[in-house]
Amino acid sequence: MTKGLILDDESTFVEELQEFLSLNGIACVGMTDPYEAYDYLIQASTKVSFVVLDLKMPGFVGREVIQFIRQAIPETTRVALVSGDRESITALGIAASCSTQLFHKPIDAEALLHYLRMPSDMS
Amino acid sequence: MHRAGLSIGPSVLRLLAVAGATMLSVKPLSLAFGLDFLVGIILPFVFVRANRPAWAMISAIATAAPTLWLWGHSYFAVILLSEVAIIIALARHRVSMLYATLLYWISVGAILVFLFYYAILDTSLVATIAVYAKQAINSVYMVLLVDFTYFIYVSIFLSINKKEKIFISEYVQTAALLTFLTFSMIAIIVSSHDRQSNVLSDATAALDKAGALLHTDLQFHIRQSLGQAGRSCGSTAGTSEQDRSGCLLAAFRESAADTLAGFGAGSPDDRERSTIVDAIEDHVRRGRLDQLRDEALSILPISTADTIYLVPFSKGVPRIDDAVMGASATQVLRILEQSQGIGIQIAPRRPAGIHIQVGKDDRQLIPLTEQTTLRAALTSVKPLVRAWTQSSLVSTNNIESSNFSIVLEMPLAQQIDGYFRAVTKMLLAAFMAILLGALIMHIWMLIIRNEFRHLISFTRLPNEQQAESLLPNKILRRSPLAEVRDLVAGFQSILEELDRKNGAIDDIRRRYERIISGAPGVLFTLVVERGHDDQARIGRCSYISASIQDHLGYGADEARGSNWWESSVHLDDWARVEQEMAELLETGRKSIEYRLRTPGGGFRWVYSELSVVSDPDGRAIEIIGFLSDHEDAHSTKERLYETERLASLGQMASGMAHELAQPLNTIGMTAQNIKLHLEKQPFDRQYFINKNNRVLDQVSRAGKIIRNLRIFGKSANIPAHPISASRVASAIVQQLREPFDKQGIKIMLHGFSDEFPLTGEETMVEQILLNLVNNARDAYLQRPLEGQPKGVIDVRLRYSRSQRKGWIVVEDSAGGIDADIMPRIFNPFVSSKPPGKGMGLGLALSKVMAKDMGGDLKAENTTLGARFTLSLNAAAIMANTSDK
Repeated sequence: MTKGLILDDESTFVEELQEFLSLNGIACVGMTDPYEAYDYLIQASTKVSFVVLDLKMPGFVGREVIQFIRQAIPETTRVALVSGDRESITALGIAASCSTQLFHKPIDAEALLHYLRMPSDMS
Repeated sequence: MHRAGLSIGPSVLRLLAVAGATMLSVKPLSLAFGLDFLVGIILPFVFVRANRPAWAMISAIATAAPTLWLWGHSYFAVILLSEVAIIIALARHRVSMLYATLLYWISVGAILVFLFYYAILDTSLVATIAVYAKQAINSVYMVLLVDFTYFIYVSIFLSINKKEKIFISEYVQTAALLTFLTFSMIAIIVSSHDRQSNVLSDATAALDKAGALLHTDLQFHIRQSLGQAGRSCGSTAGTSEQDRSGCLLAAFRESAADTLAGFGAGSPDDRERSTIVDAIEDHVRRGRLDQLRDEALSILPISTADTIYLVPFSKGVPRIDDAVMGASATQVLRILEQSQGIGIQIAPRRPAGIHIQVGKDDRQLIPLTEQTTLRAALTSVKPLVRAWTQSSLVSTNNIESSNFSIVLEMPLAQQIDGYFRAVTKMLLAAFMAILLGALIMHIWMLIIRNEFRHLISFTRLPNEQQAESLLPNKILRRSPLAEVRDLVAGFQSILEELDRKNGAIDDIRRRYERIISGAPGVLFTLVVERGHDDQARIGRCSYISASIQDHLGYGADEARGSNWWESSVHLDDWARVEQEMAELLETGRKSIEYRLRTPGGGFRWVYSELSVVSDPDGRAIEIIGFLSDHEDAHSTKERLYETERLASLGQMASGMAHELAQPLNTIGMTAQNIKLHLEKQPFDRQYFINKNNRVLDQVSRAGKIIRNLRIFGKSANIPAHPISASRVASAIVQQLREPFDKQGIKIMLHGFSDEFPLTGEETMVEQILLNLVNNARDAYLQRPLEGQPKGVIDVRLRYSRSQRKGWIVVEDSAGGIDADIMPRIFNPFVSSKPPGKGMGLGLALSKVMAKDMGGDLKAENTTLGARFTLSLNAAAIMANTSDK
């Protein structure tokens, strides 16, 4: 199955989203520490098809998010950015090097699911 | 008489003498002459001195006119008028009057006198010189007199002009008095030197004679006529006494009538003339020639002053015997005439001495000296007369060639001599007086110059060199009075300079008024008053610029009036404005914004800047204020404030949204999973309990956020309980020591004691301190590059008894607060912490709580980190502690 990564400092949210996705047949790993996630992603054996990324985490804002995406996430990986604020991806300056979409909290779970399930050529 | 007069002064005496001489003479000519002398010479000079040339000329003409008319000669009038005219002309060129007078008499005056007296009137040279000297000296004396009077006048003028604070009047008065006394003293000394020949009486007598000299002209014509009459009758040889008398009578009558007719106005009228002629006829008819002579002499007055021609007209020889010797000229004439029947001639225009003429050509002059007496003169003549009578020349047929004449001029010569002596003495006196006067004036000038310098330094003229040039610095180069005049002129220049200066000041004043009136607001000053307690209070308005009319619509006078301002400030603003004004004297500067009533009754926002002006000792003396209409700016400010408020609200809403989004997000996800679980999984009770708890947790979390926000809604009135800061601090340290130690962070307490209780609410203080300490800890932990973060949090207690305040200071070395956050640090939902680590409500809440306790919370950056200061009021129980 599709293997994905959820990164958010709200552990309860990570748990619920993990459960939601697994109930919909999508297996994924949940993490709350960006450094841990960074290490996990750059491991040669790790291959994820999507990342659900909280834009605001401790020690992980603005430019660091962009660096994280560029360095740790392969271009082919689909990225769902989750934000609690009224931000846009362009405002963050994230290059459209990979498929990204912004989701505002509270997240519309169906929309997220739909995005993650989309065929890769449509993104 | 003269001596008594002398003590008064020469000028007065002189005038009295002239006036006396004039009054003694009943002759209109003498009177006119005297008056002319009295005022005709002085007045023109006075007017010249007063710079009134037209008046000088008019007065000269007016006073000379009567003399001119009676005298029949314009000579002296011409001299006087030309003198006045030339002095005026020279005075215009700032030549001193004294010098102008001297100049005139050296040049034009001399020419005119010699032309008129010596050439035209045939006056003797000596007499002409005497007249010249008399007139010149007289003029000079008059100038000095007028100048001296003017000098006194100027002195008094300068001394009484106190308000200008010019000269020290004592100097001037003393100088004037000394000068006057000196003049008098000199006159006394000179006069008492020769009492027998009093200077002034001599001079006056000589003056009179100078007038009489011309008067004699008239007499001359009459005598000549008589002589001619006698001659014509005497030419008829061999006639009887009777015939001769008849002939004489006829000739005399004719001659006398002609002569008397020639008198014109002022002569004996026709009736008198016929009476005279009748009397003469009667005498001649009766052969009383001697009586005829007497009659003629009584009609035609003759005095010893007259010169006499003796002209024999018969072949009878004048017998001059011893009886004649020593007699007066009149007696001599009578004797000669009785015996020989000779006519007489009187001629003033001959050189002094005795002229003897025998025949046509044989003339002889015996000069008269002071020692010559009539006796001596006639004795010397007698041999000549004897020789003449015995000569063949004397015959009836040769009457023309047998003419014999004697001329006497001795009295005039004596006069001249006396006059000269008088003039010389006067000259000496005048010279000495001028010398001494000049010396005194010189000293006086030096004093005045000194005063002048004081004046210059006092007035602080812009160009001191220019001011120096105003000083008359060449004393006595010109007449002292000219110097005084220059001094006055210089003084006037200084006054003009001051006027100009005042004008410049006026210009500056007008310029400042323009600036003030053109200022974009109203300028005003308030007086600082001090009562008996020396306590400064803001008093009345001492000035307010007229521009208040343009800015607020009030007149300046109205605004300056008492209570205008107090009654115009909006009631709602009054308490605040009054408070600010009360603080102004302490702070020295204030800006206040308040509403002011407009004349129309509405209110406008005004903005006022006030600053205190102090004297060098630092005591407030005045308040300068600037008031401007702030209605528009206030609206803008209101809008700006509104915008800021909205922005703040937006920020707060945004923060709140973010904070609430987190629990909602989780709740949403949980609900989604429950739904999926119900659809796809078998019912699991525990699962639902867990999910339900999760939802409740998130709801509780959201509720906490909302509760915290409510504290901003209204301020709570916290009772001022005395609290122990040290107990609170200790409790916090106890609570946090262990977890902090694990993180490598230490809390250090400094200066805490129970000596100084503060007021507040202990739980609130605890919450604030916890917040601050946790923030400091987070700041240390937030520095990832430091590796294992280590740091010290210093918590310090400071207090001031005098300010009745205490401060709890929490300080870290964790790098400080970002400059962009600092201004908003106490706003809700502002946080320097990473997302998720803080809602941004802690500091905002702490600030509100601090304020609720009557204190405050402030933040600042130090060199190493941040410093938060919680200030609280001291409790009422004050321990005996000093500031710490």
